[in-house]
Amino acid sequence: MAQCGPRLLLGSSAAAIALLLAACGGDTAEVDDNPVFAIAPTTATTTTVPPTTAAASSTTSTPVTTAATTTTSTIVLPRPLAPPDPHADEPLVEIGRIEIPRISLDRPLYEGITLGTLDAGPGHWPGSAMPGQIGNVVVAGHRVSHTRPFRDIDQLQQGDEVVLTTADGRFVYVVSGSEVVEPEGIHIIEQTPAATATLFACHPPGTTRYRYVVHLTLAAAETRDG
Amino acid sequence: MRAAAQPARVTVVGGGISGLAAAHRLLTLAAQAGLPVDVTVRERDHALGGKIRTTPFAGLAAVDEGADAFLARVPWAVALAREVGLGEQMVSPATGSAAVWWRGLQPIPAGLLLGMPTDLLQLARTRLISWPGKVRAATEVLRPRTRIDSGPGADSIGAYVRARFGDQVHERLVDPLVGSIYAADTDRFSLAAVPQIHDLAARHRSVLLAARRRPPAPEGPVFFAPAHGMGQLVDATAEAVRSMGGTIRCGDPVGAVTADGDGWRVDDEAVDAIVLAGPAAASADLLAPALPEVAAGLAAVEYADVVMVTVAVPAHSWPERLQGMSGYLVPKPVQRLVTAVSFGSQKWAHWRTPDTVVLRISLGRDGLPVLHLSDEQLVEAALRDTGEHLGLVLEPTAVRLTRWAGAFPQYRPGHAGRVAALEQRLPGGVTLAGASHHGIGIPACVQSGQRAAAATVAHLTHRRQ
Repeated sequence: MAQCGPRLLLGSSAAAIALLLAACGGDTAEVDDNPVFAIAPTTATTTTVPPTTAAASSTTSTPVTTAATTTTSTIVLPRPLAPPDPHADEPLVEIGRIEIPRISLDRPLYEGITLGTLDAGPGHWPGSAMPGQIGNVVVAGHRVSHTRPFRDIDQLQQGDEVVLTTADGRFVYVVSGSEVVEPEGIHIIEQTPAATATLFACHPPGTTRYRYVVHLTLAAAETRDG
Repeated sequence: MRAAAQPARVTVVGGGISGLAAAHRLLTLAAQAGLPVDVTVRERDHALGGKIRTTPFAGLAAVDEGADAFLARVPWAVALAREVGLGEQMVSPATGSAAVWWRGLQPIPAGLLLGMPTDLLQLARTRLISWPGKVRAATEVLRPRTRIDSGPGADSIGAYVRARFGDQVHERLVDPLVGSIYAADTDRFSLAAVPQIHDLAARHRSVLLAARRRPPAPEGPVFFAPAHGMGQLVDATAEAVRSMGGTIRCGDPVGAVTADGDGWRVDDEAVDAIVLAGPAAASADLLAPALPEVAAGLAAVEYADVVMVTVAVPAHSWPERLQGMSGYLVPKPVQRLVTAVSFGSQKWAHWRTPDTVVLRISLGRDGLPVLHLSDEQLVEAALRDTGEHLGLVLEPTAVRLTRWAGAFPQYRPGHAGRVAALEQRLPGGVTLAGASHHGIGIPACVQSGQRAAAATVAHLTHRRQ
């Protein structure tokens, strides 16, 4: 898949893209079904938009108005980490839930994309945006092995809801489109200046040939404090 | 029964422009009818004005945090301004050109009617719409009548405009122009809420053909505002209410409304009538114990939140190519967080200083949530999006962020029918006013307050007889 669009986060060296690290396999639990992209661990470099001035917030007497002094800060989007060794050990950390009514999915969402984590359920790509935030929330899941959370990911249609709930709140995303990319199609984890999310899994089911990718945009947010 | 000399007591819940207009009209009509009346406006916030707020910013005395003007071509707000003594102080924005951002700033073509083309030659010149899109729009004259009262797209602005003119005209002209007024997703917004489009759609097969027979737009300004900002309209109306004997209490939320014989009880005060002039959700909470079905209907009204980021940038950094423009809109397909940017200093003389240019950047709409983000994130996003749109690095000398929770009620298709059904269930002495029911703009809010006042006075007069 051609690299397209502005590269906001990862070093763009094509040499950083290596072979698939783990094979999506047949429909047995022993076989790896790791959708994570085939890029070798690399140092992430960040491209930032030119430094500019942002407001230092200090809430004034009216609760909703913030004013006025300025400090210099640099605008940085979330920065996904390079993919880990798929077989690395990582602690299983539940960060929330993922619900996709169209495909009757309602499962815990974990932090991390190693095989150990994805075997437990859909995992959030470390360093990608957290649900609700500006940037791209990247979530990987198995299609054919273990709990097969994303078995029917290709059934999702434009406008379908995907609800991500974390300690921060409940965030409703809607499907804006989908695509099939090569395993090297790392552009799908690029961070966006809008609040978006991306789900992906191996495609066709039981193979590692392509990745099925669903793009989402944030449509509603309910935070815990109301 | 109270003695005849006892004034009728009316509580107006909500001290926005709707509630203040209601109180003002109540006192006026009651005086004309010789009806002694005791009117109290109760506002839960510490300031009056609701969605209108004008405060100092960046050395300027009065920069609006919400609406900065009202439509001059409908009568209610203009007439209220005159009644409360602001008639001589009205100003209009400088006529600047507006643009839509679509791979650069594209001037909005001439000859639009709420975003819909009426002049194909003008449409042909814009780079905002592709040639296939222009050809699709031109076929509007040939298309059969589009039904607006039934079927899956009934009473939806988006369904109607897409059917008539195609997706490009809808997404790049009508949705930005109409949707940005109400922070709306016009695919989910009632066509009847925009009477100019609705009337055309109801009466004529083709918009393009009907527009040729339309009388030319009236002379005179499209927008008015008081010379010291919209807050002046609130202050002057409140002052008029007080001078006519009304009471206004701020920081005084109403806790409960209960039925009390043939009258009502607001908290522990017995009243003869109530005007509910707050957001539908607030009115729903108050009516829930006494009128649960009406409350449920009111609670179903959805709202869009918006954030307004006001920035002052040094005048020397403001390029000549943007001078004379009033601002631009961002169509939904290319929106991130910013939906519109108003070049305030180029619109309003009272927002001008020699050193700075004031911009107002709007973020969020129905289906584009923003309130959950932090102040820092919102300001960063505002500056980043706007900077990229304008090809500038914005380095403001002052920044102000205003969060407007529940700013705009969203009139889903079928809204008018639901409101009518709710109002039929209201007992005498209880009326609704405000943006949630009969129109969202300031003139419509004023009109809704005045209608509620007339209904209230009629009710009180009837009870006296």
